[in-house]
Formats: sequence, structure tokens, C-alpha cells
Amino acid sequence: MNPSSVSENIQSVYLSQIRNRLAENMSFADELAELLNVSRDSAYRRIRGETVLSLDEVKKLYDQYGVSLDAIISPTSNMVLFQHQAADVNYSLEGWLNSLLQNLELAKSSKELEIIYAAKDIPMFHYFQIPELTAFKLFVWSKSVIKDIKYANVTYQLDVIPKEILAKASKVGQLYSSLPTTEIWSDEAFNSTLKQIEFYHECGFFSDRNQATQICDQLMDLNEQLRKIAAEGKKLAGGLFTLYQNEILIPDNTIFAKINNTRVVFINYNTLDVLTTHQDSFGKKTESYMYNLLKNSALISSTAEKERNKFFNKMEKQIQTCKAKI
Amino acid sequence: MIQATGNIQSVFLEQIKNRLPENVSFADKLAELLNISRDSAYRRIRGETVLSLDEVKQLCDRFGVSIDALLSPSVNTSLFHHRALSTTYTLEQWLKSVGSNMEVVNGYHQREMIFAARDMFIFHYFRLPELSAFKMFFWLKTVIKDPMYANQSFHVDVIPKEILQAGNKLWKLYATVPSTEIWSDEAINETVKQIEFYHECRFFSNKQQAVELCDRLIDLINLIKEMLLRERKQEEKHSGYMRMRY
Repeated sequence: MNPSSVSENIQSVYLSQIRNRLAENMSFADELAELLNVSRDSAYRRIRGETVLSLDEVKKLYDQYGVSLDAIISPTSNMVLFQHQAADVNYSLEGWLNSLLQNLELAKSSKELEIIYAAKDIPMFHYFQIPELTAFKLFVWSKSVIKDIKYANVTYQLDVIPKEILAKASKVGQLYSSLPTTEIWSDEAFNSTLKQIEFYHECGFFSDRNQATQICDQLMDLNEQLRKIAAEGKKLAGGLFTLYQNEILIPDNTIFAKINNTRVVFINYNTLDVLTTHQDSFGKKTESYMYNLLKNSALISSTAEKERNKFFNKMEKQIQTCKAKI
Repeated sequence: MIQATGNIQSVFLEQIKNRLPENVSFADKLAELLNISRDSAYRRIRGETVLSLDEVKQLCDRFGVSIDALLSPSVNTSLFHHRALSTTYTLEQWLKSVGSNMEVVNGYHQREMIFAARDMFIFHYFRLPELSAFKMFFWLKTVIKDPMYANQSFHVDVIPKEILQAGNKLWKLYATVPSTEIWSDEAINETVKQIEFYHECRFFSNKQQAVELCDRLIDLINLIKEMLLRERKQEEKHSGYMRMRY
């Protein structure tokens, strides 16, 4: 048998999809050799299709990259493979932040990049610009969502979250701020944080009342910061910022990204957990949904000063109302 | 000869074998399907020859085996089935498919749904024909942009009767399943905004239509209140209980 015809097509499609997941500066052959525990030469033979990938090797690749083989073998199927990252007690905040960082770094290395974020809540990356808000959000997640027993009897203050974790979150925020993003918000975007502040205040989870009002003040600062970057159409670290407002189809925290020409969809569920898929048919479907969502939204960054100010004024009012209750 | 192929190939082939009638020789069938000699087929079965992914595809196509399912159990990946409304996957098909899911749930004695979302559980809208028609009209006209509805304005009979009936059937199914629902006070915001939006865009035949929808929405809220008071979705005994958290 002619060796170059052994593996034919699916192997090369599969391997090229994996290659698309790697940052541009990584050598695919090296990565493959390491993962499969074969020589660099053998890796190349697999890439060139001279050696057949066994299903056990496919499994190693699959475990690492979650590239669906069903999607290649039967592309019209309604089955979609999702990778899930769950923030639980075992899966620490640090691990969770690291995985965000990894995804953002991959996005950053992409030559052409498109990110559309349909945000029910203001993307947490924006909170990460302000340490107090970062600490508050991470505290709520740890205490109320993940139910980390470490925080069970602890009340909130800035240093309740370790410095290293705050630093990491700030790094995530910085990186996000340097990427171009299109975001679709509704005027409910601050609601869940405001409700959390009220709830924590009523439950006595703040060390004192001042802590709660300070968080409101910082939220006000964030609102002003967001107003400013929306006006400029640019985030603090330089990434383009295109902001739309949508009231009629309230976004659900779905992120669509096109990274290195591959469509990726991140779906947020259970507050912090993320489902990720690279399946192209699902990606295309999400892409067209997002574009339709944009058509039904009003652009409020760079242009439409009046609408933009109305929007941020409304947010400001919501924050003031919350503060007044404390 | 050393075992070249490891475990997954043999599990895969075992799955294929299990889908054959007992009286069929697996090696013969494999040889026939892959267009190889009987000997080569045996070498694949014994794991001395690696199956190529193209061969895997041929077998998957023939027997409907999922490779992902075979590969995934150990790691943090899950296979989801998705149904997305589009101009080709119609509302009728969607309703039918959700209905058959509910029927499966209903087939079990012990069953429960826990629902958590910002919006109200969709099934409640299907209870009242006007609201049902409005939600469906909105999806068709604005979300999937079905050209049939592009120039239409809203009135109740804009949605075919059969589809409304299918929606109502879903509500009835839902009413028999116990559910615990977690709502926020934003549960109907989206629908209210949609009514406003359609009113401003003049997508209602007249203003009265919009006002009536608001009235129906109030009716619905009252019906849900009653459900919560009696902790059952309908008055009949067999109806599912409903608990709500806020």
C-alpha cells in the first residue's frame, strides 16, 4: 500500500483543527510529539498522513483539546460537544482565573480576532479593573456560589481575597481590556451585583455598613469608567470597544469568538461555569444569532452621545437607589 | 506481533459487533464494509493493524456509533443535543421535539424539573393563546427572521391554529410535571419590552392589540399566583406541583 494514502482525509482535517487551537508561536509537531509521547519525526509522519493515528492517540488529543470527532465524521448531526469548566471547591478560583487567562492569551495571539459578548451582566472583566469590586465579586462567588467553607463565617473586607488572586484577576482584566470586543448589554446589566450588595448587607455579610456604601461608590466609579471607554470606543488598555444596548432580547452571557479563523462559543451557566465548543455548525448558528441580535440593538459607543448618556445615567440611578437602601 | 492499537479500537469494534445480528460473521462484514481482505479484517479485530479515521468514519456512518461518546467519559466534556429554531427547523418541529422530551420525563413516576432563569419559564406563555401567539410571532419575525412574517403585523390568528394548539399541548404536559422554579423580579421584563418595542415599531395592527396583551400578561401573573397558592399547576389531582423560589 502506498504509505501516503493510508490516512487519507479525516486524520488531516482532525489534526488541522487541533493546530488551529494552538497559539501561533507554538510548534504543532513538538506539541504532538510531547502529547503522544513519540519522536518529532513520528509526529511529522502523522501530520503528513504517512502514519495512521490510532484511536488511543486520538483520545489523548481529544482529552487535551476537546476537538469533536463526531463533528468531522458526521457534520450535520445535532450533537454538539462542549467542554465544561466548573468553578467548584476543587477547582479553585486561581485555576478558574488561569483558564480565563489561557483563553484570552490564545485570543490575543490570533491575527484576526472577533469577540461578540452578549452580556446579561456586565462582563466580569470590567469589574477586574477595580480591586475592591474584584474582591467583592470573588468573595460572593466563593461564599455563595461555590460555597467554599473557608468563607462560610467570614464577612467581606478588601483583604478577604488573597493578594495573588486579586493580582491575577487584574491581569485577566488588563488582557481583556487590550482585546477588541463588541458587547451587547441591557439596562439590567448591573442588577445582579446590586442585588448581591443589598443581600449581603441585609445578611450582615459586610464587616460594617461603610463597606457596602464603598462598594456602591466604586460601582459608580466603574460606571463612569465604562461611560468614558464607551464614548472613546476604546478600552483602557487599547482594545476597541463597541457597545450595543438591547432591551428586547435580553442577552444571556454567551460569548462568540472567531480566533485564528475558528469559531468558538462560550456559554455561561450556573453563574460561573462555562461551556465551550469549537463545533463549527454550532459556531455558525451562534454567529448568525449574534449578528441578528446586533441588528436589533442600538449602537451606543463612539456615536449616539444622547442615548449613551441616557443609558449610563440610568445605571447611575440604579446604583444610587441601591446605596440609599443601605 | 505487538499490540499496536491499544484499547479504544477494540471497544469501538466491539460496539460495532454488538450491532450485528448473531448469525453474521463480524470479520466478513468488516472486510466487506471496509473493502479489505478477510485477513486484514482479522488483523484490525486483533488490534494488529490500526484502523484509520476514514475507516472509523465508514463504520460510524453505517452503524451510527458516536466516537465522541467513546472518547469522552473520562474528561470534562459533554455531548449536547441542540435544537435551534431556524427557517428550516420550524416552530412546529421545535414544539414537537420539546413535547416528546416532556413526555419522556412524564414517563417516569419520580420526576422533577428545577428551572432557574431570569425569564419566566416559556411554558407559562403557552397557556394563553394571545400571549402564545405573540411570543411565537416575535421569534418568527424578529429572531429567526422568517420572511413569511417580514411584512406582517401582529394579531392573534397570525400564527396557524395547529401551532398554537401544539403550544397549548406543551403547557398541558408541563402542568403535569412537578417543577421547582427559581424566578427573579426580572421574569417578565423581556416580554414587556418586546410589547413596547412592537408598539413603537407599529408592528401591532392597532394600539388595542398591545393593551390587550398587557392585560393577558396580568391575567397570566394572577393564574400563576393561584398555582402557587394551591401548590399545583392545575386543579386536577394529577397535575404537577409547583414550588417557587425567589
